[in-house]
Amino acid sequence: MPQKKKDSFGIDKPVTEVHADHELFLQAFEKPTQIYRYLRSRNILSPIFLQRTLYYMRGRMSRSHKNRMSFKLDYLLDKVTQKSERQSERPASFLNICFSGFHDGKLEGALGDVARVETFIVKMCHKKRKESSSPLMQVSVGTQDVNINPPEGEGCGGGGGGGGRNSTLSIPIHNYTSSNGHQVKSYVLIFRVSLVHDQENACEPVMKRRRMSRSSSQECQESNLNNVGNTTMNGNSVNGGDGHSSMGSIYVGELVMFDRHGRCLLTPGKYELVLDCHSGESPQLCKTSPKKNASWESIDTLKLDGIFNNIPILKFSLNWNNENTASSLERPRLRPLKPLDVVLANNASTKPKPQGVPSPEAPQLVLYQFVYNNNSRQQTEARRDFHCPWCSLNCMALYSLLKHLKLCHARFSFTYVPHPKGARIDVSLNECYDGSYAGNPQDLVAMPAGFAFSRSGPTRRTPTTTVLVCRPKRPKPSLSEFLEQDDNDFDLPRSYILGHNRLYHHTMTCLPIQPHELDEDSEGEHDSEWVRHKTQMMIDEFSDVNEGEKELMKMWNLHVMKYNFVGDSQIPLACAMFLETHGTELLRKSLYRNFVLHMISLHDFGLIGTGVVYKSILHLQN
Amino acid sequence: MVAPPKMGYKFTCYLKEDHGQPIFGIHFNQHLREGQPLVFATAGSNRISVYQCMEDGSIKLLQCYSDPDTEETFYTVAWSYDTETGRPILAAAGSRGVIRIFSLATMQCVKHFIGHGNALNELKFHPRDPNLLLSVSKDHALRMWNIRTDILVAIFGGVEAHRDEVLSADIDVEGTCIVSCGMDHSLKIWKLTTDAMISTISQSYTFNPSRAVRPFPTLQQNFPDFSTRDIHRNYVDCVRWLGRFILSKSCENTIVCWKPGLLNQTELKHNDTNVTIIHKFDYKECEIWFMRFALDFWQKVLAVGNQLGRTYVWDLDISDPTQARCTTLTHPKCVAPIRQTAFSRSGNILITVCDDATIWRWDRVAQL
Repeated sequence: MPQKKKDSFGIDKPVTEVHADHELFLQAFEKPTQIYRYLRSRNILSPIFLQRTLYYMRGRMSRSHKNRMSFKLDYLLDKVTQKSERQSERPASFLNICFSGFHDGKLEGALGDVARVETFIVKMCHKKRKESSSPLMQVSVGTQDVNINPPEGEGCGGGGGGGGRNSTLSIPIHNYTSSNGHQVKSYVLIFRVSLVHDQENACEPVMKRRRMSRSSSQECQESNLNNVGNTTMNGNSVNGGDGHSSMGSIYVGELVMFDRHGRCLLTPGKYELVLDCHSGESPQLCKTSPKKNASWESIDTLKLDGIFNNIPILKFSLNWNNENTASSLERPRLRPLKPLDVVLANNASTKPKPQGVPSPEAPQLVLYQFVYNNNSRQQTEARRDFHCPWCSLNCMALYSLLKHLKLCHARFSFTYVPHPKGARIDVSLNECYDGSYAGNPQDLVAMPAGFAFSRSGPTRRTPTTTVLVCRPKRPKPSLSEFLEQDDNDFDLPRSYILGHNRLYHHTMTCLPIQPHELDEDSEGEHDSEWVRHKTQMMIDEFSDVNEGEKELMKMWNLHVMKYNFVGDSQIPLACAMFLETHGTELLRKSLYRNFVLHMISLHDFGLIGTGVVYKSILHLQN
Repeated sequence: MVAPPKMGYKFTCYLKEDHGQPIFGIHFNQHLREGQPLVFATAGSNRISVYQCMEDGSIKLLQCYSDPDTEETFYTVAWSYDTETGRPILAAAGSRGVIRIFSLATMQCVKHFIGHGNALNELKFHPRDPNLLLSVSKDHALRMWNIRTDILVAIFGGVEAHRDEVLSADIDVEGTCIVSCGMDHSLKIWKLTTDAMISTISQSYTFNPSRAVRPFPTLQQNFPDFSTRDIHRNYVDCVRWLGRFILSKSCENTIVCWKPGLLNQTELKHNDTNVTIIHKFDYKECEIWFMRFALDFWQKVLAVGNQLGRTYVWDLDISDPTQARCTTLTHPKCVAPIRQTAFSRSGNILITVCDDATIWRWDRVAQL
């Protein structure tokens, strides 16, 4: 937290009360600050939106559309063919792996026994839609013999050029960039160590050892620790092979070469790879993504000494060796992982001039003043940049900073006061903060619970609106919108989404209306089954009406309810339709006289004229 | 005349849940058979706890779930199993009106069903179809859900249905009828064998919501197949089928065994005003409502607790119902109202739960 200086007011208060006030003050601001700090870390790891695409953050967008003026579709093909030619021209550079030994505490072979290491590269390709599983291609790139359990201090032959003794493997780099018609998703190095039988070992000539210049101990440490995390440890492999070592058993280990962002994980250094024992099987293609088998262990729970003694380990060192060529083209270099904020800072420094209100060239002073309850204020150390104090986002300009504070940190309310040296921002708690969920209300009721809020990847959203792109006319960015307002309702931008962002429910079942059901109105209660049933039951309950009357009543009532006649003028039509649909039924149930009586009563009530009565009876008689 | 063999239960152990709130519901998992552990679940406060009865007479806590809303109070639990994997499933519901489905193998609440307009008083699974869940609510209606496909199959409510809170319901052993009872003093029987019901249930398995334009055609059952208010004069808070007879109780210190219609009548008529009372099981000091009795799986024993912590047990496995003797189970520390009782599948263990958050275990002792 930035340092605070107390501002003295000259009001006399007892010390304890002042102190209590101060405590309350801190507490009030503490909770939103903690929330925003937490969100900051989370958004760095797993962002929900990109800052550079916001309309008020143009300063962070380094792409421009200048190229669009000169773009022509015809040039696309040329660009791509040139690129691929450049790639194939470039001579290969090499990944050198120098095996120092295969360690297994359980093996009791004499010094000098060797094991055979076969190295494969498995390319996992992007799964096309019609394929049932990701295509895998496995390519063997070399076989070496390594010593079993060499004592400490022995290493493999000299790095780089020599080639020499068989414990060094060089893999040309073009293996990793050709596409073969499939888009490659990731590469995995698989080491398959097979032990030759004991008797054969005795006949093997003793291998000469070579010394290798050790890399600095720090690098070694780091890469080992790196790889403790990276090695795949299946649940069983911690206990290693169960003493199968006297048979022709096979140990397999995997190393992921590139992570899913294309960054190379194999930094140069010494590696210790834990191997999993398979007894005498052919090398299996790794059927599942190495990501699924990998698990992260925290370093302090692993007891590094104990664990690595009794399980089979393959030790080797790895480096990348770019050969010098006469070509002047730049090869794309694989960069190691960089911490993200360094990346952001780097990007920020190359931005063009930020948008919005042109700010003076001199570094601006931004003063934050925390206002609590209108009677106590605290000032902070001023900042000379436009970084947000809560999420350390570089906003590049004052307007962007204020807009960001207002929108992303809505639990506070910010007021801008121009200051001779720059700007002063008053921060107070937003009393009218509405913390309710502003997204799709379906997310809250969908099953499984909380699915939409899970961070395990993108989830399918059900769209209820139809706006795709919207470019509203925006007012010119000016700082006046942040000045203190007497009433807070300057014209808020009207919502561009017409339609429903509420959760509606069905009338009878009270279940939420799904988005695809929104178009149909299924709630109109017209002539429901239960009403019909009920009227029939009630009519049956009359004790002073004869059967024929009841029957006619039911028929007539059902007819009227079905067609929903509501006006007096519709009754003649109702009669006509009734006769058409139920005429024969009436006669069959011998309700002729009942019907005539009904017509007469309708006439008595003035609902139909005599002409209608006459016509109806005539109709029925036919 | 040979006296009917008596059975007694003796106190084995008790434990108290730390929330101190009444435990309203308890249910044994009757899907576990001979040789499998004796597992039961309790519902009280905002918690669902799963326990196992151990051989040495103790009770061991296996799992415990707590609703994030501290205002929730669970009233009822019911056991079922997943028809695809065979894993146990626990359904729980209470004052918030939300039915929660827990998968005990993954220890998660995998589903929830909203839609009831008020609190839920009881949950029952269909004895033949583990996916059909009957829920009974304070909003005067019963609902049947298909928890496999997440579809509301039927609503038993409306113009001729209950007019006040529905407190309890039961489905008979063959799955042909539901009997329900409530605060309106009435007991109603709903047939599940009508064409409309059978077709709606089978439709609920095949309905695909993402392809359909209209929502699922939930059956609105407004008219019960039988209804009576002549058995009890107050809230009817517990009902169970006993073969083709019905056992029900109110807060009048008696459990009534009766059948709809005349004694020899086998058909159900919806406007039948006849009921035949077969037997009454009397006990004392149970004048508050929401006190449930239980039958064991084989319907040989009946148990109910009263508001002073005493449990009454009847042996039903006798030819002459008037000979049904009652044993009383007491313990000096058991003084709070006993909200519900439950038997293990074999009937050898009886568990009662009380308003002071205590759970009591009684084991059967054969007496001669």
